Amino acid sequence: MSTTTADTHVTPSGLNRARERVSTLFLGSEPLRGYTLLSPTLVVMAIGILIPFTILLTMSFWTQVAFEFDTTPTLNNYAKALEHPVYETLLLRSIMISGACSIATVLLSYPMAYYVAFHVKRYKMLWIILMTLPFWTSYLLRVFAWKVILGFNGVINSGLKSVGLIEQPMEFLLYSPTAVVITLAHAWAAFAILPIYVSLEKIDRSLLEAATDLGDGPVARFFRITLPLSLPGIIAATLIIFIPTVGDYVTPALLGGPDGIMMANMIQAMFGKVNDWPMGAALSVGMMVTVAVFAITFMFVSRKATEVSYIDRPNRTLAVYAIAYLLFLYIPVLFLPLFSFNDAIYVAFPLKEFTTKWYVQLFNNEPMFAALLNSIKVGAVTATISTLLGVFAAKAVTRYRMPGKNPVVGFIMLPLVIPGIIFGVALLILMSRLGVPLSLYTVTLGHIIVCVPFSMATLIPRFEGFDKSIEEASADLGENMFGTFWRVTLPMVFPGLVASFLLCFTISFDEFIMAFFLSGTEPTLPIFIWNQLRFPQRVPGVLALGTIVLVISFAVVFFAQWIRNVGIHDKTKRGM
Amino acid sequence: MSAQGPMISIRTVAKSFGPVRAVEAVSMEIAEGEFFSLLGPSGCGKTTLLRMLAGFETPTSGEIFIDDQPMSSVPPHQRPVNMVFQSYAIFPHLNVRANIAYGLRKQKLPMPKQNAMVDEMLELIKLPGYGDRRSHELSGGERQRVALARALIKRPKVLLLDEPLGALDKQLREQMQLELRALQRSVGITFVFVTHDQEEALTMSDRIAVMSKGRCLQIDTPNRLYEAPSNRDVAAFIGTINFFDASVKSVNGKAATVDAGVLGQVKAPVGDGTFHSGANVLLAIRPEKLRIDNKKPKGAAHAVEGVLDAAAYLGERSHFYVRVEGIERPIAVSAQNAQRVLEGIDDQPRPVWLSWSSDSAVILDT
Repeated sequence: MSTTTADTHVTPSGLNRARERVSTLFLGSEPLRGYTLLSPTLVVMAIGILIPFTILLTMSFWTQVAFEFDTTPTLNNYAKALEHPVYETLLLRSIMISGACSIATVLLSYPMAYYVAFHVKRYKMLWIILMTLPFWTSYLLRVFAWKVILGFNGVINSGLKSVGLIEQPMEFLLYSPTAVVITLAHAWAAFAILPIYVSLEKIDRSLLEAATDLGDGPVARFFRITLPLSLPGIIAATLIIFIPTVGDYVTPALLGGPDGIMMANMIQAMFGKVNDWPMGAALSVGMMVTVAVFAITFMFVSRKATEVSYIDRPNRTLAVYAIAYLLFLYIPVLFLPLFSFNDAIYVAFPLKEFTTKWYVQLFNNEPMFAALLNSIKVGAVTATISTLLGVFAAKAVTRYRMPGKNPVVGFIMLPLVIPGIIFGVALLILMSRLGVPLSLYTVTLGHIIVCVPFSMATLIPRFEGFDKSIEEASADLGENMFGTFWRVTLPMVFPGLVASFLLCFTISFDEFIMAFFLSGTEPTLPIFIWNQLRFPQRVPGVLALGTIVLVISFAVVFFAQWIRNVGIHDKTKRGM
Repeated sequence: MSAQGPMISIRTVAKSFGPVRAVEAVSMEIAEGEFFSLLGPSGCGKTTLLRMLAGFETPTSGEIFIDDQPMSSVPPHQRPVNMVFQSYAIFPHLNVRANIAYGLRKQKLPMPKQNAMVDEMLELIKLPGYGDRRSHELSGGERQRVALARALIKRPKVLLLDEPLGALDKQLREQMQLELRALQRSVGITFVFVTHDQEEALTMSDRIAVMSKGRCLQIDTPNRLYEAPSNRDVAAFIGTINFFDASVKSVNGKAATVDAGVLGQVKAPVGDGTFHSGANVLLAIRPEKLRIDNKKPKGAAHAVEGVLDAAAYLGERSHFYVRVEGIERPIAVSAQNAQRVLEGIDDQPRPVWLSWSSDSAVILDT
């Protein structure tokens, strides 16, 4: 090393040298920088995933003695779960129902996604918005809409009766596994359409031309090229639907009847009226393991086997199908506003007088406003924190080479493959063991854990979408990490940030099952709605509230799409 | 600062990415005001070396000195270097003016002064009036200029250029080569230029470091790299060259006499490596150093008879491939079409003569 000359302004003191050494270490180790950036997210997720699950597992070996726990480890709960046929029946039914629902949804959605990907030319974005719009309305209300349709005095029965086709209401419509399957297939349609659409859209059109050129007709081409290449989308769609529906609580409780009750309802009962928490914990563990086994087996099998599927249809048939499918998506949701202006307590045809009194009542409903405010608070805090954690994590994983990156990302994404009820239960146990009273804070914590993966999934493509050298250029021009983040990274990922915020807010705003377990005396809006649904005289008020939520959600989605479009627009321009 | 010392001194710098060794113990010195190129095929480590100069990668071992300062603890934003990125990395959310002024924030200049500097830069890159445009409104060549201005406005001691002309079409690239070279002379900043295009490197550089598989093979002026490559890889990478097996008869300092079979005994300068009598070596001759004739030329130092195997007419020049008995591969010959002596050559094999003067060959280690 050459001797330092008079130009070096600072005489190297011990402190400076130490600082230099830290700086050298930090600059020299990319993994170190990456993990530093990732650490806030990782810590939160570790607290939110590992600790609750450890305690869930631990408790499943305990015994409930009145209101106390006997903490001597025992396998009794698992033995009981295996002995009693009711648990096996429930678990099997959960799997059958959600399996049937997954397959039905994927089969119904594939032609739709195919139509939009291949045959819609000009208004693609409009179609996508139209397909997904109903799903931004309250999940609870979507499910409730089916009760309105299928109910004893529901739309179908009262409609058929009023035109004289039937004398007595058909009872099999409601309170059956079929009702649960139909409702879930409707409620989760967007989650099937989108991944399938994306995988179809990605297929290079010249591959299809090549297949045609090599002698394949439309049918052969579909089975030999299109279907195999869209398989990742089909697998994703199936899992995305299977995992949450297997642990669904709302639909079976509202529409299932005694034969349609599923595992989640039993788990809830264990933590509720039965008051056997360890048993509930054991059932949760059992459900989680089953879901994991099914998911892994499915991924493994589907990698080898070819899928059962559809025949490529001519355009017009597809177009008719697509429109019919859209109607299927919209009609249940649109019954809510229809009956919210109907002057009758019971949701049934024929319609009575037009009225706005339910809306008037709603505006004088103090508890509703309190619940709404709670949901907004929880949603805003959840969205802000999740998005912040998502930004750090997304930047870390897209910008730094880090050993063990994939397992770490997998860990953070874990909440996506665990039914929400299990998170709710695990966090409930943790809070009660720690003596933390349930409140909006505990709900928020739960929501953050669930939302961080969504935030990350939204932001990672955004970070990948712009060239790393743009940030390097900023550093090269003299900006430090914060300056670069503020002047370059933030403006570049801004649309992603807004999208993540809105997505997290919507998820939190609509989330029922975790809030059901984790909220204390202050209900969130979905909990409030749930409580209202038990009283027939409150139902019209719920319909009015649902209509308002619907309108606001539509507005938010359009705003989000507009932001997204601004981003996409930018990108296409840049590509020129 | 030592006035005579090199601007950049790279001392046994190595870089590994996990098990992959991207750069292996490279040392080189780059003088102030030099136009220095790192040349090599993709994956040879040239970009990694450049990124270590910029500070985006840290050497696994070794040290880099810029203007006599060790760089290992200096983050990219504090280094006295600026970079022109391969993708240009023009900030898409800012217009041209804001892009160029980006690096000036820390200097806290008054607005008029800053605007004057940007305008000066826009003049320099011949894009006056482009200040309000966005990056998507610029062509490839214009982006390249903006990236250049954005870096130069910082008055760096060293400008790093990562294949900046790679994305441009041939004509524009040639024009930019000349402009870039002229610009470098006028601003007098040290340029370190990464390219895989040997012609580009030869045209523009004062000196070139030829890299392959993470190693530096030779550092020399364009002329010496071409005329006196020091080893087989450099000779093969820069331009085309004919290799002939030969064995050493005698060594005399930087020259040796070899026995090259049917080509006879040839005396030529030697490249790197130690040579001793009897050793197997390569005799290397560039295609344009060979002369092709219908008859045996008079007075040529070396001549051999062969059969014309194939010919390609390229307008200004022609390429010929000649088979000589006793030599496995056809010999490549490049001839200026100054006279139309070989007009009307068809693909019919016919006897020809190859000849070369005694200073056209190089002897290299196998």
